[in-house]
Amino acid sequence: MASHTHQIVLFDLGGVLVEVEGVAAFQRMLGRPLSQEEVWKRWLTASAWVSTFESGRCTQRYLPLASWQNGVLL
Amino acid sequence: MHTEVFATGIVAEWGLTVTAEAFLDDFRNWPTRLFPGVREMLTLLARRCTLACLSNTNSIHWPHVRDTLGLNGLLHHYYLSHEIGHLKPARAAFEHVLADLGCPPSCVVFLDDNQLNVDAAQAVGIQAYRTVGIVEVQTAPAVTGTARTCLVLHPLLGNGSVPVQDLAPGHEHHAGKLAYVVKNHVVVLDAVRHASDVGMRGNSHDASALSAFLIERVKVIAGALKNFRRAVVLDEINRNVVDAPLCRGWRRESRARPACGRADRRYTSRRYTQFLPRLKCLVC
Repeated sequence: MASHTHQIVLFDLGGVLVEVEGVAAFQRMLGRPLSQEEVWKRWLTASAWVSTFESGRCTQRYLPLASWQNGVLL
Repeated sequence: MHTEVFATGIVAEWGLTVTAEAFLDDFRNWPTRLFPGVREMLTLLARRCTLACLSNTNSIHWPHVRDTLGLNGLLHHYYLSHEIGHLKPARAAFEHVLADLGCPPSCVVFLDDNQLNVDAAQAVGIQAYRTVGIVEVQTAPAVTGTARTCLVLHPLLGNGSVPVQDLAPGHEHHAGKLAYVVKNHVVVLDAVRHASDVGMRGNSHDASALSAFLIERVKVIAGALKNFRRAVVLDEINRNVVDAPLCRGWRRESRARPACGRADRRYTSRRYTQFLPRLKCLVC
């Protein structure tokens, strides 16, 4: 990495600048055993609600779906 | 309302045994702090380049990170998934950043703890590096957190310091300790005042062993930064100096200073500042 060629440093936040915990607590909320690694992987890549919320699309129109939906991708 | 929708959806999707309100109460506090040394590192970097973040985050965590944890004002640009409408590793997220910054991908260095995101950034033409993630934390990496980030960015930082807090197990609570990066040397000032400071007790403390421990970590750094030629670890407890040339393979050389008698106080943490110029002479 040459110092003169890069003028912009782009950071991720969680795990890079910001310490993020909570997976252990989330594990305890689960009704079934799931490793921390598996929880985190699924949280980051496979949760429809996480991706919907974090892309700013989680609006009130999803409320009826949220109340009964169980693992079905949106 | 959208936070309640999200929480309700998560409870149903994951089959949580708690209410949506209980989940939200816990979820708000997932981001706990800025990693040690982040503020100093960003302040140093901000003088040399433009700083930005691209984060998959949300309307609950971001205000907490910005205001409570204090990230506000440390970066020049904030690209947040819930605001820009794009999630990493989608190509659109990186393209959005490049378009907004008005620069080619070759001008950007990207750091992320998720290899998927690193790969996606590289596919766009951005030079990307993976920093520590949860898997590495669980398996006790050699260099983690801010120290890792500092090392990746060393060419940008130039001569500077790396928090030892993340450099060696046993130093986790040495928030003020630094490993100095001087030219092509890593210098760890291991001047602990009490055995209890390093998580070891009384007679069982072995400062030489600790130095070896640190040296192992420095070795990893040296491997990452191929132009590093030498590491010096100064240890006050038994006046041990570990002087380790890094070129032509790893070799540890140490020489013990008198453990008692004439007190050599040069290496006390109290005198780091005064000692640093001499240290630079030592390693240059």
